[in-house]
Amino acid sequence: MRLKDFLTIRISKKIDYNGSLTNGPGVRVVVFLQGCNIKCKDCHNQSTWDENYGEELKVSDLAKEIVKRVKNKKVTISGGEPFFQADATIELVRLLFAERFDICLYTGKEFFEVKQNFPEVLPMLHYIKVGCFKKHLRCTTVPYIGSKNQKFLTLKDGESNEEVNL
Amino acid sequence: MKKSIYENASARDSYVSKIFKRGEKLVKNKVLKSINCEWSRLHSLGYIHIHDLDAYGLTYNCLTFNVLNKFPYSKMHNLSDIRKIMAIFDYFKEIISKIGNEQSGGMSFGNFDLDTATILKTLNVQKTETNLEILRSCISSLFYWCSTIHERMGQFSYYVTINIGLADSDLSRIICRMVIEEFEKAPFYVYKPNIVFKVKTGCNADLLTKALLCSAKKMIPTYLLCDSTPNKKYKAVDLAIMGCRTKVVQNEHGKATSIGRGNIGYITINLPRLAFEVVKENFDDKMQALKDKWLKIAANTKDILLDRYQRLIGLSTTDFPNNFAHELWITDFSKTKNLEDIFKNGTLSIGFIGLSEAMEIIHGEKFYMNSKKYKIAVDFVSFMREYINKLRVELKMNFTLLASSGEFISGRFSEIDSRIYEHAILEKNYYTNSFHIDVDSNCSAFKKIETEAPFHNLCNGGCISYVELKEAPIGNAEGLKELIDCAMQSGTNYLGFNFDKDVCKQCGEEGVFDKCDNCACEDIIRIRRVSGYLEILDYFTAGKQAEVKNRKKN
Repeated sequence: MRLKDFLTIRISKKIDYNGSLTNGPGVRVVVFLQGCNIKCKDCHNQSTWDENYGEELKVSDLAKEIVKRVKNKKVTISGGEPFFQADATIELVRLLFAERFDICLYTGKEFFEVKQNFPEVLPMLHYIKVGCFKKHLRCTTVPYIGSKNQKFLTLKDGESNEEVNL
Repeated sequence: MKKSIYENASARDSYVSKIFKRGEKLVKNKVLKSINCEWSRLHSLGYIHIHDLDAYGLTYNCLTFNVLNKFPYSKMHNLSDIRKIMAIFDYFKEIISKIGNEQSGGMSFGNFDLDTATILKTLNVQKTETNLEILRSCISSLFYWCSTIHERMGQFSYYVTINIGLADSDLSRIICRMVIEEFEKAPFYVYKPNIVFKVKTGCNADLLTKALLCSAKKMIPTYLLCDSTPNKKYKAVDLAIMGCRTKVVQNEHGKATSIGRGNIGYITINLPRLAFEVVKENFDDKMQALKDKWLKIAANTKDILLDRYQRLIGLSTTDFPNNFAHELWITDFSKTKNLEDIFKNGTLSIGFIGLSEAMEIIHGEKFYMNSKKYKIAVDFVSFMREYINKLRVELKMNFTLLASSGEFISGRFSEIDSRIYEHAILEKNYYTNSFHIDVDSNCSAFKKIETEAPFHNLCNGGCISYVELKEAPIGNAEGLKELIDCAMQSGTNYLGFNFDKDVCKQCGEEGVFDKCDNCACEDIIRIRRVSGYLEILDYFTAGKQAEVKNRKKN
């Protein structure tokens, strides 16, 4: 047994395996993680902030369940802030990537921060949404983002398809 | 604004409409008195609903225009290119307006992109930048007109459907693209006509993506799946959706096609009523009893449709001066003395509502929650279809089984039944359309599509499956394409996407809200789909308003 096999992750609510069409391209099952250290003002998902709420489960069990139930292999990991539980999030991404999943990650961090601090995760992601929510820049016409400062990026080998401020 | 409950969501009041309504009431009563009293009884007691009762024996229901048949090229040849383009669209409006007042239901263009391109080519209109810009403006103008006109009977907008997607030339592809773009960028109060994109593998994948992005914003287009089990035996170019879901293809009297044909009349049978009776009378084999009861009602329904048809063909071609003048049917009026030669190509449809409620009344659970009950439900619909097939063969008439759209009847039947019976399903004040699974079922979009698919192959008079989405899937063509692919593979004939669309009157913000997210204004317009067409919620009928409250997302 490796240590990683005991790694746990805290999710905020029961996963809706019916999927969503507003959390990245395709019909995607969204995993909302519990706990946030960014806490954007006017966040519409504040119930996911407190790290003591939600449900804790083994990363390997969560990955197994997702592999079993998500037939089209499209998943979005959202929050909360996924990098608040960085080790668990990266392990979950790793397990799903090994199963050839199309993975999208929603983080409040900027792209350069992810690149600096968690470079290993980017090559395994298909899409990443970066940037915190700013109410005065709220936007409903651009797909998959909440405010104009945020960016929804398509990744190839960990690099973005458009220029991002590094 | 004063809210009134309308019988039809596309209606607005006017002086003419008030006079029309009085006349309509008188005519309906007269019709009910003039037909066999058992038939009127079935209608009045809510066993069946004879749709468009005021048109009984006076006209047919709907038509997909055979627009190339007698297109008036000669009137246009001498015009300038710009005038030609405008004249083509004036002609389209003219036939919509004239035919729309000579029949009781909707009108459809079976291949709008292909046919408009053919007309332009025949008139030798050059593909210059200016001409294309005029063409674009004419398409856009047609959409505004369809949405805002409310002139039919002084109160209704025309039910118009435009089928596109099979474009095969540079010009027809330009037209197809323009239709999608002009609809997508039109303001919220432009929500007609109904646009149907015909999906054919290997054909115009780029335009399909464009169409899906438009649907993600506007719920239109909807999608006719030409390669699915119910449709693949026909040529895609011969298939078209007429109005909200009407399908006319098979033909006992000639070419199997949708073009130049329509529905003559349709009657919907109230399945929950029959189920209530079966339970009350305590039969041992309840499903057999349901079938027996349905057969009796269906036999009467068939007789009503035949009587209606006989009265219709007893009229003269001069009773249809606009049809006569424009020759939009598969057979020409001018070449026939007998209306039967024309209207025999139309369909006579027996429809149904509330399969879900009927099964729940009998079995105490939803048919789609249990594979055994599901099989029983499919078996029951197959049984109805077999009877229809028998009628086709025996009578040599185009009888079809219709998954009725339930605009008015979803509330009417439920209301009448709640006066006689007590049951939890009556508390929601509406019945679920045709074979649809309940709007509050909470099952995934894929599951809903797959569950409803087998019924599509049985309902040859027309049907649609809807996916109810939580919010507008802006930009997500990939996701909608996944659902299209699932529908195609599982045997769905026709698919649409619904989501709530609220628009702020003040600033135009779109989303789902009671108070605008952007400017906090509370003057909100709610656009929803009812019976296949988009409408503004205030004008929904009582039954549909109740159903909308219960819609949960897949």
